This record gives sequence, structure tokens and C-alpha cells, in this order.
Amino acid sequence: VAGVRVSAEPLQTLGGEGVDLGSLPDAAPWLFTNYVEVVAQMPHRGALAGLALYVGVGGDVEIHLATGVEGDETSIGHFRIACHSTAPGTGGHFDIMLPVPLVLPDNSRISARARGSNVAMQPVITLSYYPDPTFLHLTEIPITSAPAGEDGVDATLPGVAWEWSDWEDLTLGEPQAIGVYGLACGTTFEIGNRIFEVQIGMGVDPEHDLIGTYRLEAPLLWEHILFTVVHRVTAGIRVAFRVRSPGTETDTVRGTLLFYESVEEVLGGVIGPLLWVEIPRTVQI
Amino acid sequence: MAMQRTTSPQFVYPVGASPITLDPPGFPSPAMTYSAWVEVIASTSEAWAISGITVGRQAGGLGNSNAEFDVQLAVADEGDEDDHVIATIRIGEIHNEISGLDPAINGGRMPLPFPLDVVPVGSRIAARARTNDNNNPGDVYLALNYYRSPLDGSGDVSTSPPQVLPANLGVELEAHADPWTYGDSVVVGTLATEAIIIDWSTAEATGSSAIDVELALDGDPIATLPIRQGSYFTVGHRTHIPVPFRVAAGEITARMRSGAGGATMRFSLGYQEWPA
Repeated sequence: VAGVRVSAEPLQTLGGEGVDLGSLPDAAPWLFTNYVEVVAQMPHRGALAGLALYVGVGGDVEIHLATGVEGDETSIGHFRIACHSTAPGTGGHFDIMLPVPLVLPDNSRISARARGSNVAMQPVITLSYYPDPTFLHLTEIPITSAPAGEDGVDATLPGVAWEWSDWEDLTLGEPQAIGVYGLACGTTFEIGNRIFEVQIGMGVDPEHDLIGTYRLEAPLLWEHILFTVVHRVTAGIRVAFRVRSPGTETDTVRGTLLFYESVEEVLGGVIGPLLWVEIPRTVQI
Repeated sequence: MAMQRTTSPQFVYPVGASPITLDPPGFPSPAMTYSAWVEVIASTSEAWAISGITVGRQAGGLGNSNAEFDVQLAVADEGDEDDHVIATIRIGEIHNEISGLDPAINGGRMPLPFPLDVVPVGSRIAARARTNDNNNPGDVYLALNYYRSPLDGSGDVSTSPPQVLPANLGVELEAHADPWTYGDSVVVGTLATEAIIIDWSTAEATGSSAIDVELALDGDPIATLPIRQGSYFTVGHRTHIPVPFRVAAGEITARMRSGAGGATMRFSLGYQEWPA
């Protein structure tokens, strides 16, 4: 099974010059826009590879994608972007590329809507995708985030060089095993030293059950920690994060966990040099 | 369908300490002249599969903050690094003068699609850097992300060195003056063998607009890469591709278009020879 994570088809775009999802409802944060059509009908089967986004101003934002006819859309998951600052000019460019592309069925209509923390946002999106994918590294499992539909979780630097903040819970546990693909991570741009470390851990003792430790350099405004290999987390297990820096600032770092809602138990423990397996186009994957 | 995944944690080096400092030379050295090799770690206590780097460049003086720089990694004894390069990674700086901070630091994380499983236990790792901002080269800061090798689970790894096209400096693309009209094609370089495209980066962009870059292989369009944005962040940009796409050997050209028309920027591709 090694070698399934390469596409024979180059990246293409959906949404052309950018699909304007309109202004967020101004009655309150985190209210959805209406769905806007990205593509009326997929001309073939596709694999959603990622999102390119501009929102105009800073904040936390979710871009929800759906298939289905107008008025009867079915969610296929949402992207989450965190930009802690709300200062003008901090709203893009953002992009997120997925470690496991999502299946976009042949003939399907794709639409999108948005919600976020800053009602001044006006998201414009373009999707990247692989047409007619012949590789096996695909999924129909939706992408999501925790928390969702509300501001991200803040971890506050303690003001002592290289001392960790408290652990801050991202989720107390999901109902099934999940595939974590990163942390949407935003900072205030007043953060002075501009270097810090982030740890993501699991369970009652996350320090000893780590997903990983990551270094961010110059993370002004936004810098997401994106994995290229999904990390499996068992059902019901808490996931938390903490931060530290070489300085004495007490700024906050905002985090939101990015994950696939479940993990397919298909592959077994094969690690080795990357090999290529040609899959004939006529084979139904 | 299948989802590759792991339960192995990622680590960072150095951890809880200042990053490794690299010192690209400035004038009178030509732009894009590498610094001396700097030891990152004398001997790894276990085998590593490098999953990415975190880099920043603090330009001297007022800070250009809109340049390109390359970081090279080697696994070798001192003096033998040139012949044992394991990765060359290009970074297009993200402009952050919006913050008012001075001197600016630019950089970010550059994950690799496949952990680079080329660091046996006991390895010495060294690094060096170069920049086209030789009037103001400053320092380049480096940290590594890695897994202990072998990984648990089902994630592919690679032994093929990440490389950059063009090798020296990004090509300059110019959008047509009319909105959403492609400018002229520019030769990015020639792939001598089949390869996978693992990332792309831009630098020194002018204009504030949404952008498409179209790639072609031997004249035939093969891919479209989007930047969707307005103001400051077009001046530098980088996108990693977790599921790389494969291209045959041949000449790669690129052209760009913009929503406002008339923008320019430097452009580079990251790749690995195939099979990886």
C-alpha cells in the first residue's frame, strides 16, 4: 500500500477567479451566510486538495462545503482558519492543503457558506482539487474542527522564558477515533519575540502522550501547524495544547484543532520507501 | 479509499532553546551565495525522519522582509557536507511590516509531504542558508521537525532529496495588464527525470490582488495554483502540497494572471525526483 499518496493528475482549481461568499451576517458573530454555488456540476469525479481564501479582516472563520441541490445541501465538512488579530489588512492570503483529499462525486454540485468571529469578514474562496483521481489516499470522511462555531481556545504565555503555559482543552473527546491534521493557530501581532513552541497532547497526562511539539517562527497574525500525515487519536480522548516562548510576554495564542471526523481502519502498519503503484483508470476505487 | 495515518509523535530540534543561526553572506558576495555549513546536531541519539523545518530570517538594518532564501540540510561529517545534501528548501518571505515591528522577522513552517527517512542513529546534521537580499542578509534561524524512525502506522516516507526549480533564484512572472488575463510564459526550468511537485513559493510580489499561476509541461498546461488575497501577503507566499502530483521529465513553464492586472512576483517550485 506504500505509494498511494501521490497524484498522477496535477492540481486544478474550482471556483475560478474566486467565489465571493458575501458578508457575514452582522446580527452576531458565528451566524452562517447563505450557501453560494462553487460549481454547478462536477464534470468528473474529483479529490478536494485544499482551500485558498481571502477574508479581508482578521478573526476566526469557518468555510463549510456541501454537495446537493440548492436548498438541500449536505455538508462534507469545514475548513477552519484562525487569525487572532482583527486589525485591518490581516485577512489573507490563507490556504490549507489537506493531507487526505476528500472525494467530490461525479456530477455533484458544490456549494459553500461561511461563519466567523468577525462580522466584517467577506470570504472569497477558490478550491484546489485533483480531477479523476487514480490514487488510493482519499476519503469521504468530513473535515471539522474543535471548537467549532465559536472562537478558538486561548493559551496565555506565562511571562517566563521557555516556561509552558497551562494546557488548554481543544476537545474533551470525540465519539469515535479521529484523524488530526493540524492546529489552526493565530497570535496577537503584539507578540514580541516572535518565536514560540506549541505542544499538542492527549489524555489525562498530555505531556507524556504527545501528538507533537512544533516551533513557530515569525508567526505574526497567523501560522497554522498542518500535518502531512494524519495523527490518529482514540475515541473519547481529550486533546489539549500549550505554548511557550523565549521571551517574557504574556500574549495569547489561539488554537483550534483540525481533524477528520473519524479514521478509516484500512491500512496496516506499512512503512517503507515510497513506491508507485499504477492504478488503471478503469478500476473503481 | 484509504487514509494514511500515524500514532508517532513529532519532535522539534532544538527544543526549548534558541534556534540554529545561519549567516548568509552579504555584499560583496553575490546574491544567493551560501553561508558556511553550521552544525545542527553532532550526533542524533536515534534515527530521525525529518517532517519539516521552521525557519525565520531577521534581516539586518530596517529589514527587507520581501526576499527569497534557501536552506540546505546535509547528513555528513564536517567538511563533507556538499556531497551529502538531503534537502534544499526555498522560502518566499511573508511581508510583515504591517506589524510595525522592526527589524522584521520572516519565515514559517515548511512541512515535507513525506518524512525524509535519511537520518540514521548517530548522524551529524548540518545546515547552511543563502538569500537574494545580499544588501541586508541578516541571520536565518532554523529548527527541525522530525519523527523517530520508523513511524508507527501507515504513512509513506521518502529518501529522495527535496529540491528547488529553478535552482538559483525564482523566475519573475508578470501578469497581463488586463484583469484575469495571463501574461507571458516563463521557463521555470527543466526536470531531468520524472518528479513530484511538493510545494511552491513566491517572493518580491508587487500589486495587491488575487493571483493564478498556470504551469505547463513542454507547452501543455498541467496545473493551476491559486492565491486569493488582497493586500500585504502577496509579497511572499508558500504552499506545501501534502499529496504531491507527478509530472514527467521536461520543460516547466509558468505564467500568471491577477484580478487587478499587472502584478509581478518571483516563483519557484519544490520537487523530488521520482520514485521518491
